[in-house]
Amino acid sequence: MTFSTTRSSAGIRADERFILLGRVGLVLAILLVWELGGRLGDPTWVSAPSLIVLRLLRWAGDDLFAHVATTVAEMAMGLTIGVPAGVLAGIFLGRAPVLSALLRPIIVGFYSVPLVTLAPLLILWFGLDMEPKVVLVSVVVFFLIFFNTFSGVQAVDKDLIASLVLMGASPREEFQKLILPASSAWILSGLKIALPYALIAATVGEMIAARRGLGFLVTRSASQIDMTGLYAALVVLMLIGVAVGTAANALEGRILRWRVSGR
Amino acid sequence: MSTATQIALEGASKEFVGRGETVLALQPTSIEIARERFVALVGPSGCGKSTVLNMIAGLQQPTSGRVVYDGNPVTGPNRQVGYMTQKDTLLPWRSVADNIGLALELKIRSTSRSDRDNRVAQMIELVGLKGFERHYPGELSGGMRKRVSLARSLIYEPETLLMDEPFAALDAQLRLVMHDELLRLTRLRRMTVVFVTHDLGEAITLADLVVVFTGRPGRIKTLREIPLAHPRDAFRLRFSEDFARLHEELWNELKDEVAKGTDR
Amino acid sequence: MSGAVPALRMPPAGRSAGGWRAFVTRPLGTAVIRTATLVILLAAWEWMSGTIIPKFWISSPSAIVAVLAGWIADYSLFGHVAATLTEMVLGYVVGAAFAIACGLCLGLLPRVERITAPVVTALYALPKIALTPLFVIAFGIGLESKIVLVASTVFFLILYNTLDGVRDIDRDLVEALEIMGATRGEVVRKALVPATLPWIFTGLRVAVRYAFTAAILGELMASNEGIGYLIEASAGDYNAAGVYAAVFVLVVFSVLFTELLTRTEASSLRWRV
Repeated sequence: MTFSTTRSSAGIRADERFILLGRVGLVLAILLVWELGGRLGDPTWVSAPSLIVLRLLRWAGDDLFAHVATTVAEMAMGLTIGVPAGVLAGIFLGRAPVLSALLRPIIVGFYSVPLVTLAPLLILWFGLDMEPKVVLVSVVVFFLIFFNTFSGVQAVDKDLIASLVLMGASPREEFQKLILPASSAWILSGLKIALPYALIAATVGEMIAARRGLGFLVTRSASQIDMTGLYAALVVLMLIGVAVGTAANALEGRILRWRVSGR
Repeated sequence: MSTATQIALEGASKEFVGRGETVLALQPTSIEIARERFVALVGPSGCGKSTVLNMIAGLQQPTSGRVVYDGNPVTGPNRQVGYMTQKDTLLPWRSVADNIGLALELKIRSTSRSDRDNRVAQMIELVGLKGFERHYPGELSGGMRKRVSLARSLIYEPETLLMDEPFAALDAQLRLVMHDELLRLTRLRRMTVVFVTHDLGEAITLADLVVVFTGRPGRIKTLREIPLAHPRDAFRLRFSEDFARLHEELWNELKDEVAKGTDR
Repeated sequence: MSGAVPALRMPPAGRSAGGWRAFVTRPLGTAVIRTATLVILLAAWEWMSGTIIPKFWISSPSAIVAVLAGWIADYSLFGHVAATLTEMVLGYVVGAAFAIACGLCLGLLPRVERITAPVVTALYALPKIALTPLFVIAFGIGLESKIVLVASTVFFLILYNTLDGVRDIDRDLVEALEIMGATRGEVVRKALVPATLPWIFTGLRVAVRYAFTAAILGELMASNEGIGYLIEASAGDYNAAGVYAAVFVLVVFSVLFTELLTRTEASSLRWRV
């Protein structure tokens, strides 16, 4: 097979079918091997897809959705707080060079630190309920969005600003018609990165100390050495993760809309 | 200074402060530019031609002396001018039509929506971009983007047009087309134009007055009136004897400066 | 014509305005203000602790320094730092090696890459720290579980970067080589690998932060050594001073890594157009 190939459309269709079969086949093979491993080996440790599915069904009838809802709620609330705050701060500091120069070391300091690791601090302050997770998600999201917005505002071409001023734009018009649209790509970019992080932050918070949530499900199963439960919780977490990832990719599509042909 | 003077530089100079050293970009320069005149500034790179434009536009302040526009000293962004820079400053997220109409959206002009749409359509027709209204700058060729820039600068009918090597990146044929357009439009609208270029032929074709600058630090070396009659045919002008003579004469002035520049 | 809006276009190197603005933006002025602010904040903190806000919440600079001094004095701090760094380095090396190998292989076999893509994406979508309990059950509470965690975190990142690098290869370059009569192996060696390297390096650099985070998070969950362990243990004892002290160590290393990476960025990319 060479690197550069041109294929007929019939060839492409056949290819696509092959890929699809391959994918399905791979997943089935994995499930099959796991199932056999569980039955032949020790099911307590290895578990098996069938057991996991049964457990999920049992949980679904019980309180699975409550846990899912908790995690999603923590994410949503954190995003609702963190995103607007980050955008506002980014725009404000992006336009205030003196202030941002002074605050620079604090900002860089915060950026260097993996904020998720400060989860215990938050739990110390806020306790075991949702609040510390929401705060954690908000803070993590805030910094991500802030940095992207800040960079976006700073990156606006000075010549564009000059040309608008010469045309007679007021500072407000300059902001509305230039700064905002120009940095929107950056903001969306930040948002795209922030979504998976929101999930990670919520999960970390829940795993350290919580009474509800998917992270909590993981640790609870682990502490009982309930491997089936553990895998089941991980599967649900994975599904949520995929959903979040898909949303993030959709955002990317929007960003690229006018960039694709752009300079 | 008579009332016919649109722009005047009175001993305006410009220094830039670099890492510990001061660079004189433009020596104290004085010149008066009358209304409705097309003035071309030529000279080697770095001789301060762009600085002159920036000072007229009010984007830079002279280190000494002053710049006077329409009888008033220029102390801040000069909204009476249109400025077309070398690098096009189109907004990539706006269509051609929206880019052109940008100046008319601003409160300072209070143009009605229908009026704006009409004028945008006129402009598009004028610069030959009909059919491309909904396109984005990223989808256009260099020449087309220049035409959008030109349209954008002209649409709000500024008194004066400043142009900084606007056609440098275009191919020869397209440049001739743009010369033709520019002459026609600026005479129609009775605009004062200050045009910076490296291309002597371009300067002679377009201008009523050619100003030759020395190399850095720049100052005015020569002022030469261009008595070629209007309306000028941009395509055929270069074959006329008058043109050849003027070109020879000005090239002699210019080439010493260019040589000095390349020796450095 | 206005004078209200100040000139926006800056000359190549602007002449600074006079007055306090100049002082503030000059290096000395900035340093003075920052140091002064820091001192004031620390003093305020010390004063507020115990008086306005209970020590439980915010501790005090003096208590934190005491804890840190204690840790240094009995050499325990070095042991914990060493543990975290070990987890980081070993996990990083293992994860990166696997990732580059897989990345190159998958890059060369596009069909295989596409078939495995959904599985890889699904695994990537799972927050890796959720796997910590699994690793702890499998490998115990010691360094091993964290090493595996770090490796799995780093793996995906570098894998995707490598894949991007392989995909990014200039078709023209490849075709030019093929026309010259190069074998597949030669194309790989002479075009593919050099083109992929910048991407791999970028991935390697970004991964450092993630390795650090993963190590700390793993320690927070279940460990008996490491900086993360110090944070968690102090939190468990409701020892606020200990938590802040450990967080301080965390911040120091984070900033260290970031600085290191920023400084090496320029030199590593110098050869890239």
